[in-house]
Amino acid sequence: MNATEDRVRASLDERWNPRPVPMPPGTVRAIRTRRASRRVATVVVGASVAVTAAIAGSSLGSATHRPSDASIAPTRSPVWTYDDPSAWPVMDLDPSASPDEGLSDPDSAHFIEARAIGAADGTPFALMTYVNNHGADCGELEVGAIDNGWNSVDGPLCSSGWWVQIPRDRAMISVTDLETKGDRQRQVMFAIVSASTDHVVVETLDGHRAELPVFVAEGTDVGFAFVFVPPGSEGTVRAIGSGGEELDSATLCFPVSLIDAQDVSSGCTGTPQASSEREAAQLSGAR
Amino acid sequence: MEAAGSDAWIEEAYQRYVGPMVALAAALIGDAAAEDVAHDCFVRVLAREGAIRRDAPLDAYLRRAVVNACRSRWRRARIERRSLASRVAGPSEISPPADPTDDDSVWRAIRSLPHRQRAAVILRYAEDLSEEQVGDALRISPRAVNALISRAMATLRTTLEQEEGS
Repeated sequence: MNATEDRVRASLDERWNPRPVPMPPGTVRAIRTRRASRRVATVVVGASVAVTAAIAGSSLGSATHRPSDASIAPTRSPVWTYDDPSAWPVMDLDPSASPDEGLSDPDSAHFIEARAIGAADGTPFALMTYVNNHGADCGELEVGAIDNGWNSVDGPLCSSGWWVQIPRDRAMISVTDLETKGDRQRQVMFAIVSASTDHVVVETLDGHRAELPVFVAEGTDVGFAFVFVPPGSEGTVRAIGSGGEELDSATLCFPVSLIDAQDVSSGCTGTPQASSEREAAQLSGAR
Repeated sequence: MEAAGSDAWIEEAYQRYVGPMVALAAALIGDAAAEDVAHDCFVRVLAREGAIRRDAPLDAYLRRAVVNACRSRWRRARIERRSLASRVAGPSEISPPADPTDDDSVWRAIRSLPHRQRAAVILRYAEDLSEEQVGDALRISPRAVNALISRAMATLRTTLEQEEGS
């Protein structure tokens, strides 16, 4: 084994040549802007948020269940922030584990927000930001309303997230991601829905069921719902209207994937346009 | 060192830490996106109030952020490739991106390791970090780091033996 280690060391030594990197203009401003944005986003909905995560037929029966509360129901708000891990809806976790297990570092707590931002052409966009328990590992989605259809775009705030494009005849997409922390994994499901959606129902093939409230970013017709589901979960996600009618449905699948019916385009945000903070900072500095 | 959080402090921190983070990202996901990843992680980490404290281990925060960002990029690229592959020719196996210009068999073997094993090997042998520091970056115990590296070394040895035997 030592011979292999020696070869690995030699190979890496040859390649490991860190060089100083000059700071692009605009970096400090990007940091300060982002920090100010995070401060605004500390409108903690947290424990006061109405979360209904009911499990039917679960053998574990460890769901968080909070009754609806009209004062905090999915009303329109400039910013919804959900940064209290204990308030996250959980479909299923080991009963001995709390949702914030291991999140001893307050700077790396779960964090989610949805806010309205204006696109250059005045189209209102909803930006949903999700930061998992690794802190800096972000998924960001920008979803906006264009010609009665939905679209999402890469933007300067979105450098390492997903992009998705929603067909115009759909009312919902859903996205799952898998978190890994030590030996523990959790699957997170986001449903991005039209604002006419009253709630979202997630049902897994093994009998778990959760009803989720929808949070709508003010000025947009886009809302979202989210929940932790057992890793490996497969099933369905349904958008339900105020009259109880099913507006749309998508497939909950695994592993880590962007999910929905056919025709949903998705990918990572590796576009050549200003798709990174770095480029945005450079552009900003240039201006 | 300038006052924590000042413009000068940020610039000094950038020059001090981002270079090694670029090298780390390049080792994990290749050169093309390495600078972007390192820069983005620097901005994200410093935008968090708690990251700017006199005693804060900024390099550890950054290292963890870079490892995670690289994992996310690799994972999403894999999803994209899988999606494209299934549209064109049905399901196919996913292989890590290869560098066709690479003639270093050891390096090729390292790059074919699963992300966590690759990260552990690079942090341990390139950055020369202790198992505890590697564990901090990967958020696993030092013991788990040891096991991860042992598995990686066993895989590398087998891969290299096969390659050299063929």
